[in-house]
Amino acid sequence: MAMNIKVNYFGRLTELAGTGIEQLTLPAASDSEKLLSELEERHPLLKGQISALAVNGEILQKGVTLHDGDEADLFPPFAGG
Amino acid sequence: MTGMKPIFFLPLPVAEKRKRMKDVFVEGPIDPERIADSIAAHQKKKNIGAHHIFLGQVRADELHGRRVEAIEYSAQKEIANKVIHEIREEAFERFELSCLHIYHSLGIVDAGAICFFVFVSSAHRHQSREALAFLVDAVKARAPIFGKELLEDGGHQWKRNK
Repeated sequence: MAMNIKVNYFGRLTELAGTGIEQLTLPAASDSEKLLSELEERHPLLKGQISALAVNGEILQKGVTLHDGDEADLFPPFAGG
Repeated sequence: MTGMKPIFFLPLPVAEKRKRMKDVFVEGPIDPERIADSIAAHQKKKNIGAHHIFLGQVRADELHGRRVEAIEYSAQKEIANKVIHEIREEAFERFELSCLHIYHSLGIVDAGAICFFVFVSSAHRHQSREALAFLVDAVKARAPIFGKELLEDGGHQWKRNK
């Protein structure tokens, strides 16, 4: 069964993706790597520009399996201060 | 959530200063009066012997002949607040601190105004000085905060930390 993922872009990535928020449908049991490759395919300008990914409010240190209804945040390099 | 468990075994004043997750974000620039008020408020805490303060100020950099007039900050606020809470907890674990406060701007901050305020207090200067360096670097490296540098000609560029 396919799953729906909500994707939020931040900072410069909103310009590279041309949107701040989008919905993505992925095959069942997709992981975070699959999400990233799908997004880069959909928006080629994102290639090499994503420096961190959070799923459901947690910044990932390694890949995770995704579930229907998950929310992903995509970040460019952090630039606080 | 390191540091959550031991709270129950700490004396109350220590637990009090550590347990709550705070919203570090301030809309627009950080008013210098807020900084003065923070210093004044700490005069009641007479176990403190040293404060260290970091103030980040928006710089009017010139990029290919175009000057930065302001930075527009944005963040994933929920994650940034959680990450900064964890950084606070780490600082209390690593250094002997009386208290610490962190504020960061969101939205537009003009060149010359303050966008980042870190205030660390301890009994002696070495602890607060080292904690301040740790806190400033950790917030910059680990919190999902972003800055759009607004240029005088109406263009923009995305801020990158050095």
